[in-house]
Amino acid sequence: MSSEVRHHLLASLVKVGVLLAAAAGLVFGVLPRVGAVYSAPPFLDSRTVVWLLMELHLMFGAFVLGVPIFAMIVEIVGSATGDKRYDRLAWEFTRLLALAFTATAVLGVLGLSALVLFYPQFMTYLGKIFSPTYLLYAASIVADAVLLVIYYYGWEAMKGRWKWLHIAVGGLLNLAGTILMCIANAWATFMMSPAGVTEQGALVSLAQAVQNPLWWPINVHRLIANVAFGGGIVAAYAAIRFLVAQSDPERAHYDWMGYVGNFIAMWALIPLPFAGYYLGREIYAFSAQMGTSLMGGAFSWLFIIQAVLIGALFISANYYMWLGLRRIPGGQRYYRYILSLEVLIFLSMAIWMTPHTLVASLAEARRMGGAHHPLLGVFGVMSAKNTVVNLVILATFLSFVLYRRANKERAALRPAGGMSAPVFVASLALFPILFCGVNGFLGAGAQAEKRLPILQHEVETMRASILGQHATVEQAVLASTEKMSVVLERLKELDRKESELEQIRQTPGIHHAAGYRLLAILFASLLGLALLDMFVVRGRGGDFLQGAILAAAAGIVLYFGVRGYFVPAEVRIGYSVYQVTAVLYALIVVTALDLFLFFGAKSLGTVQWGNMPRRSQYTLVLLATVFTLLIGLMGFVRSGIREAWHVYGVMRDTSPQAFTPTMGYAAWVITAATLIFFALLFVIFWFGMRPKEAP
Amino acid sequence: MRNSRNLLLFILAVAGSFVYICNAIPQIESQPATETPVVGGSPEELVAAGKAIFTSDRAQCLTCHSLGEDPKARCPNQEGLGERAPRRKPGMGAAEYLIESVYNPNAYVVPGYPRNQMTPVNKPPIALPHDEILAVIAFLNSLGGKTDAVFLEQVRKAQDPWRQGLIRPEEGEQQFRPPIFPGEASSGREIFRSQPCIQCHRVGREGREIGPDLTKIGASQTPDYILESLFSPSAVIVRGYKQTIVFWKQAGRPSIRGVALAWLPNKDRPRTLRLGVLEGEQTQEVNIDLTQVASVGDTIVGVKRNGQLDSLCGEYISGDEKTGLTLAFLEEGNWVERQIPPQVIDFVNPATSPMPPDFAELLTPQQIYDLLAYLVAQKGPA
Repeated sequence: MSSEVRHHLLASLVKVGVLLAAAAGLVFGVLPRVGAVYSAPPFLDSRTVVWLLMELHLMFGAFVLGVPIFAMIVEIVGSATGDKRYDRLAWEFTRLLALAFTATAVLGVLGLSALVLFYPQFMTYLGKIFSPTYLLYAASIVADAVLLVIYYYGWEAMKGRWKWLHIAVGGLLNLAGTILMCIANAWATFMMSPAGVTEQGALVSLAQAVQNPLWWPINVHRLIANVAFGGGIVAAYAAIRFLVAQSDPERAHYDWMGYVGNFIAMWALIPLPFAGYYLGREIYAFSAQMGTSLMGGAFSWLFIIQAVLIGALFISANYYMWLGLRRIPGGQRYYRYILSLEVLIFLSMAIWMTPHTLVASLAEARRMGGAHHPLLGVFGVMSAKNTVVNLVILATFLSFVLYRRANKERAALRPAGGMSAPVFVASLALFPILFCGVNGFLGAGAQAEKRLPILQHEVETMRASILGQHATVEQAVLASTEKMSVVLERLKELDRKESELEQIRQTPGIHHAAGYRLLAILFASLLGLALLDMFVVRGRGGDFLQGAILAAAAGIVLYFGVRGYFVPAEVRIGYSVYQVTAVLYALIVVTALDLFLFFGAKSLGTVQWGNMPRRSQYTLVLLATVFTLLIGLMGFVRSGIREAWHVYGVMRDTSPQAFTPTMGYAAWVITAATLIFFALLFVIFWFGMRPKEAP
Repeated sequence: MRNSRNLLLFILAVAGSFVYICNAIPQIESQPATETPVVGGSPEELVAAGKAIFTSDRAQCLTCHSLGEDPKARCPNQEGLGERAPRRKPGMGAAEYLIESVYNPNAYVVPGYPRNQMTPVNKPPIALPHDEILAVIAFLNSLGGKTDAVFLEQVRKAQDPWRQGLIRPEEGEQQFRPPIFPGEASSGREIFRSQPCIQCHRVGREGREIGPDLTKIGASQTPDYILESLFSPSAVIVRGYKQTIVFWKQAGRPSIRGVALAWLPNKDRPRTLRLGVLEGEQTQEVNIDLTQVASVGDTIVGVKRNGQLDSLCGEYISGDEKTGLTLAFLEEGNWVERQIPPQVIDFVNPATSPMPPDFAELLTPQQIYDLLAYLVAQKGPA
């Protein structure tokens, strides 16, 4: 180990040690001595102080967890393609992590101080539940710090044939960061959906407290969001550097960096709505009241704001890609598709943003016949919103496909070699097929569907034998000459069968088994055709197949979106899974086909990096700003949904700030956090990006 | 410099737009819910208090339910509930149905609505106190029904096991409850007189007071309770009417079972026990000389001692097989309490009712319901 690495390792350990000691001092030293239930700082209320500090901690945390994932992906791409630019990009951003890591930790300690001083009783209770996790959390921080030093300062040493080791270290770094995030998520989600405790809040099982109902949904959502956020910040940084660049090569480099950052951000953004929907479903499953407050009560307007922000994200990302076609020779062939995609995305976002209940005066409400607009009110429900978000994802994916093939021209017949990438990607399509197949043929819903008619017949037969010639059970029972014990036994058996029938009807997935079977067959057929096209007809049907798969996915999304208006809620909720599966399937198989069709394709010219209008870079800055505002907004709803509880249903919030603030106030706090975050990030970039020779 | 300024202005414009839009939408500030005082006990006062609680943020009823047709409502419309409640669930009156709906919502879900939508309102996060729940039920019943003192009494009775924490609703299979059908009270009276019932029970001037007096049974108990007593008399045994078992000191002499009518001269130093014994279809009152008795009580326990199994008989005080039993034993004319640790207990035959458990074997359904109708009609002297 070189002296430089040893020196930085020691410095990092000292830094981490000091911060962990401060945290331990607060939790084990200060907290037991704070007598009050609540206290308040001067000038600002305690909740706002904690909110700001923890929001900043979370934003920096998302950055230091997202950037290593981004760096690892980019390093792998660089290693696979041999393009040194990727390796340099990964190194460049890893440089920033040390300072950003320190900022995250300092903000975490400041946030902890605020919690200990202002909410001591709550923190004492949380400690009683989660103190065994503190050691693992501290160990993860130390591991993260050590691995970061090795990852960054070992870049030069682990080159060439040792590159795989460096990538493995990157993997371990990401693992440590993920564990860190998951532990903190357990504390936060416990406050929303407590588990493993009695009604009075006494701990029964730490494992259950950690693995509470919302833990995994939040883990998945935050992991994907961190990747998107990391890519977005990289892209924004590149955009700023592009705008201030003094030479064409510099502009070209940062244009390329912005493209890579945006590419990764968009690919992570695509599955994010699905992760959000999963989280929403789990919230509903945990507490229907919490779910109803979220979507139909105090927070319903917040989700309209969310739709506005996500609309801005998708429109900006697509706009950036369309602008990018200008720098690609041959890109003008696809200009004609832009208008259609633009109209589709704008319309879809408009539908997504439409609220169910309009803000209307009494006269306006009378003219409308109520608070719901006769036409627009139709779009204010989940069926419409699920449909349009899936269509937007398909449209964005299509923009990617067009961008990717913009400067390529296919050979008439492609050579037989180089099948590994398309076959690998195509094999991923087995997952949605298996998922549909299992649910359609083997799952609990399918078993219940098979059992239902048998049980219905048994119940009808039993009922008929009890009724005999009589019209009602009452008449039959009173007319019976048998002893009551015999009659009771029959009634008991009928009651048991009817209960079983009712339970079978309530089996999750029973209404969807047939749908899954159809989808499994459709998906398997399309995959079969794709493989046939690749291995037999050598791509002759490729474009048509791609179009057919995309059209099939869009058709499934639209069909179930419209049908959702005509079925009960518990059936409609399951339709979103069809839509998501169809979209994910289309993404996988169309990508596989595209890799196959354009492998070894003729290039129409090199991409003219740097040949981008200035407004494209402002688009990237807009993306990063909106990402950050979204993090703040979603943090507000995640925390606010507890309403007047510290731990929902277990520990009431009796502080003066127990009320849920207005959206307007929340916007000020979120915006303040965003601007402070950008200012601190600017300082970190300023110091971190001073010229240094890349390895 | 110009680029930096432009970028800063751009970011501020984006953030400013966000703040502007967020302030332009309806501003909702949710205050923590406050408790609604339940004042007074008259039906009108309870209905008013119940309405205030039902419509409050704390109870959250209107999050899902509605008072009137509302297509947005996710749970049943409560308008007219008082009129529907008596007919909602076969065999259950309005008070019982409403109590069950609030404390155990999944016990019965109105067809067309999904299960697991409503959490028990006596538990967090809503955690309404029992008095407030009583007021809410008073209000709900007033929607189409009549909330008077009689109804409130029924509600209090149905609510009592929940107040005492005797009922814990479990997910999954609900226990089977025999249906309640109408019968002929006059035919029921004949059955009461012809069966062993009249040998132990009194109704008005007829019958004996060996078992509980049934003169006002219809006023104090529900039809469900009475029916359960016919089919499973040992499920709930009225205090003082458990079956007492007497074992003799004389070897080979069979034990005798009946209802302890009196301990003479007093329970602390009894010499004689008067036992009401059902023999065939007749009841005899038998005086037991306690100096001849080896053991007496309502509970038999098998204990393991030095590898041997021994049976003890005593009066149940408290405990069970898992935590250990406390029984009172009659020793030398005095009652002595002893604790039996769980590790030595082999079996426990708990106290049972002396009432024959086989009415369902003996009677037809019509006879059962006629008997039930007769007993339900016994509400005391007019």
